[in-house]
Amino acid sequence: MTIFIGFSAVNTANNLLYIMTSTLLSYMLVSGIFGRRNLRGLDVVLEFPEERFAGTPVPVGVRLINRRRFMPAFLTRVTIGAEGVLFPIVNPGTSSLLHFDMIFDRRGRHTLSGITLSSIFPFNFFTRYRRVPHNLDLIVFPGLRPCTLQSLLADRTRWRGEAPSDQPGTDSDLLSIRDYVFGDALKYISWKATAKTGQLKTKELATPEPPNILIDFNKLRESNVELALSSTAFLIVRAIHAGTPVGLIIDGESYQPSATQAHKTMVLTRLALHGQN
Amino acid sequence: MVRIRTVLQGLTYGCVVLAVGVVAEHLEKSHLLGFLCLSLLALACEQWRVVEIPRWLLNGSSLGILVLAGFRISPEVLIEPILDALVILVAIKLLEDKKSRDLLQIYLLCLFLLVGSTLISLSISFLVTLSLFLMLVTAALILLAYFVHNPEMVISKATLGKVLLQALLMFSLSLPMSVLLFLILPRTAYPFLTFLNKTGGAQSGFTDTISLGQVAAIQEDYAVIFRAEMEQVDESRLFWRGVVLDEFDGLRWQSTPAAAREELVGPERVLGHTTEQTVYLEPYGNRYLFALDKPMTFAVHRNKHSRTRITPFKTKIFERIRYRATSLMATSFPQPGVDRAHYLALPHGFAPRVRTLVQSLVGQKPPNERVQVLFSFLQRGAYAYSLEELPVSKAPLEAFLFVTKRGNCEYFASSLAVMLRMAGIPARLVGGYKGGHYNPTGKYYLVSQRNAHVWVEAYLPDLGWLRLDPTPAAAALASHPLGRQVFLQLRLLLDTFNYYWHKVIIDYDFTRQVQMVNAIRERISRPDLRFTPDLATIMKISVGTGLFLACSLLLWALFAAGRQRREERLLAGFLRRMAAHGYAKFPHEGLEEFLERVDREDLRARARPFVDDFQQVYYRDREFTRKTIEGLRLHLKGL
Repeated sequence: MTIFIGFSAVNTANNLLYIMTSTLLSYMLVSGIFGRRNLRGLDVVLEFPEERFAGTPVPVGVRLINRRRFMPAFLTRVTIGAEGVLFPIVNPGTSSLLHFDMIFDRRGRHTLSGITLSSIFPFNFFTRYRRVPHNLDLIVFPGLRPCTLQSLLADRTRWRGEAPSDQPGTDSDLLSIRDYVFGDALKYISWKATAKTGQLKTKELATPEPPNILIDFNKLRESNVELALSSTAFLIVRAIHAGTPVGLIIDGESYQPSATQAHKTMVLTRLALHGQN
Repeated sequence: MVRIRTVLQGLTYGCVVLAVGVVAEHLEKSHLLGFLCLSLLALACEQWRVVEIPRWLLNGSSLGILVLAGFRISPEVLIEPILDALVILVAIKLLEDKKSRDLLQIYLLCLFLLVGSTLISLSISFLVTLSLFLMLVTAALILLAYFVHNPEMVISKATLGKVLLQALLMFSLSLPMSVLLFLILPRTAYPFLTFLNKTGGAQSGFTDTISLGQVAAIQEDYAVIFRAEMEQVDESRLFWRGVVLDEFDGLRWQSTPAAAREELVGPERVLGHTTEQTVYLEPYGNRYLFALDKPMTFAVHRNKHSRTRITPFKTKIFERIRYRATSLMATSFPQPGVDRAHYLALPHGFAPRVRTLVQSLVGQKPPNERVQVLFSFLQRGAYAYSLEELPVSKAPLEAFLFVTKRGNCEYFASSLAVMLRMAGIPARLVGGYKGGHYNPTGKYYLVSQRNAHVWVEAYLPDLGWLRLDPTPAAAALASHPLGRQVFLQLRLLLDTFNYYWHKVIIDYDFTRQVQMVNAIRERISRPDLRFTPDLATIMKISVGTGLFLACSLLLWALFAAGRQRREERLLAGFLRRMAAHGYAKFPHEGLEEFLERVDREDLRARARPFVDDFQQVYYRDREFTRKTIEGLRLHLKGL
């Protein structure tokens, strides 16, 4: 368009057309400068949840920090891999946080190095890009594959006593009988003691002592390693969620049963990095 | 909160109003009416969804409009049909369900309309329209970028304000750049599409035929006829000569080719001092060039818009032209070989009553005295200047001299010329302008149609042609043609802008570009170290410096936006110094870890205070105060 008007200006010697041409050219220049400036002075901080499982959407927090003094950041898209999030405006000297779901397709170590800032500001004629140097190492745990312990464990595994139900329960040994307190569930009322004493009595049961689970990864029935890892991860997560200490033996390494979050992270990390250097 | 779509709608209609407004007076009424109806329908559709017109129908109509416009185009009428079609296309686009590309097309069509307007008019109002249009379009295009992401996006008023501020900033920054580009963009001395320019148009008011007894009153016309750039001269000398009217048939004075030829021959001897003028003549549809009486030479500046070469007194002026004239500032000038019989000719048996009057006035006096007597008779007699109640008669001169005794300059001058001829003195009329308002800012005389005047030249053997102005009001005429009223003074002020617009912008061409380059080269190769500034120079330098500083400040604000903060600069300085000692920090290494890696104890001890102080503030999100910064600087010096 500018070239067309410029051509007309030269060949008609019409100074008003010259004015239009010079204005359009200077606009091209100024819009270029503004577009460039719009991506400068910006920082990106990514906020990941502590647990990331392959194949499960991970909510990623993207914080765009505008370090500039005067100019807001307009229409800035932060792209990580194939996913991105658009910040309509971030005022100077402030930051803005947006979330998007990210799915890691495989377990193991992921290095996020490609964060790209892009913007069509000021005019939707060009898209400008800027790569933000960002090296973030992430461990993605194996995907969770629902299963039961029995289905996973090898035939030669021996169970002592009853096979544990994988579902958490509330029944356990009787600790004591006390006076009824308003709000106690009716099913815990000891009718026998109530009849004897003439007062409402409630049974106090002991918290069931969770059995320790120790999974020997190399003895699992599942021959597909990835499926085995996913199933093991599921069992570990569910057990620890239920407060059951769980341990792991894998490739000669042994992790004693525990139900802490730190233990969970450690064990899941080990599973995530299985077979990777 | 505001919807982007609503704001865009407002801005788009603003752009359309501006673009169509600038060409409205050149459009055919039917097209303008069509545009208005369609636009109103578009507004109604947007507001109340009155009717939804299918896109294929709109596209088909657009095609039809273009084809029809194509049939109307001819070498004589080239631009107008295109403009007519464009406004209808704009209205049709407004009717569509507007997606981002439709909006872009509307802005593009508006831009085409502005381009078209430049080929029709060179008015300064274009600059105002273009500026407003650019501001609106910039804001609209930025919002369009939001619209592309989400057409239903809603933003806060504060965000909208920031977007509009960006548009304004972009516009302000592009201004100085546009000026520079305007000056340096390549130009050619031989443009070949000048036929597209169709600027200017004839004005009424000046005629080379004076007809008496036709109208009873004359309306005063304040339209500018020309501006003459020159030094101010004595008001009594401001006779702008245009045409010589030498033939009188009893009712009409006309110019013969012989008189026109004589005009091109300058005076034989230069008797007084000369003055030069650069005249910017408006298109007025006649062929005469004006200059102070008596012009000796004309040099017409080659008009870049013109296909034809302007020859003084031959080419009709239908476009604004510029020429230089040199004039002899004298009340009389000699001319050899005057055809006395021609300048004494009167219709046979013309006005016997006037002849009797002349005889009684001049008797047997010598020629000089005859002139004096007749001149005094008209100027100091019972005759009054008037633009109303003019004699409408088949014998207008007699009616004027003996009945009404009121008339304008045409009656006074005609009467004197006729009476001189009756007294045996060769005489003729000279048509042109008298007076003019001097604009000290632009250093030019502004002459309007109201200054149109006719005077007499009498030929005396010892003096040559002697200028005589018998009109009594002539002395009071027109040095203040625009009056003293405030709005007229304002008009004069606006005229200054108009004058500079034409002088600086419209007339800027290849020649001036070359002159400018040469002047700069001259200045560089031979710098003039003498500096004797006058007030105007100091003012210019001050204004220029002020503008430069303002632009620089704006640019600095923009570019400084992404600069490092003070503490970051200090940290970078620290890392540079450590690197100079042979210890480079790894990208993801913390300062503490980095320091632990330094095995030179003395260096580590010297670096420790900086790292401690820096971390104390930086990692605890505290403010870096002046004191902290000073302290850090001090630690840095120790490294």
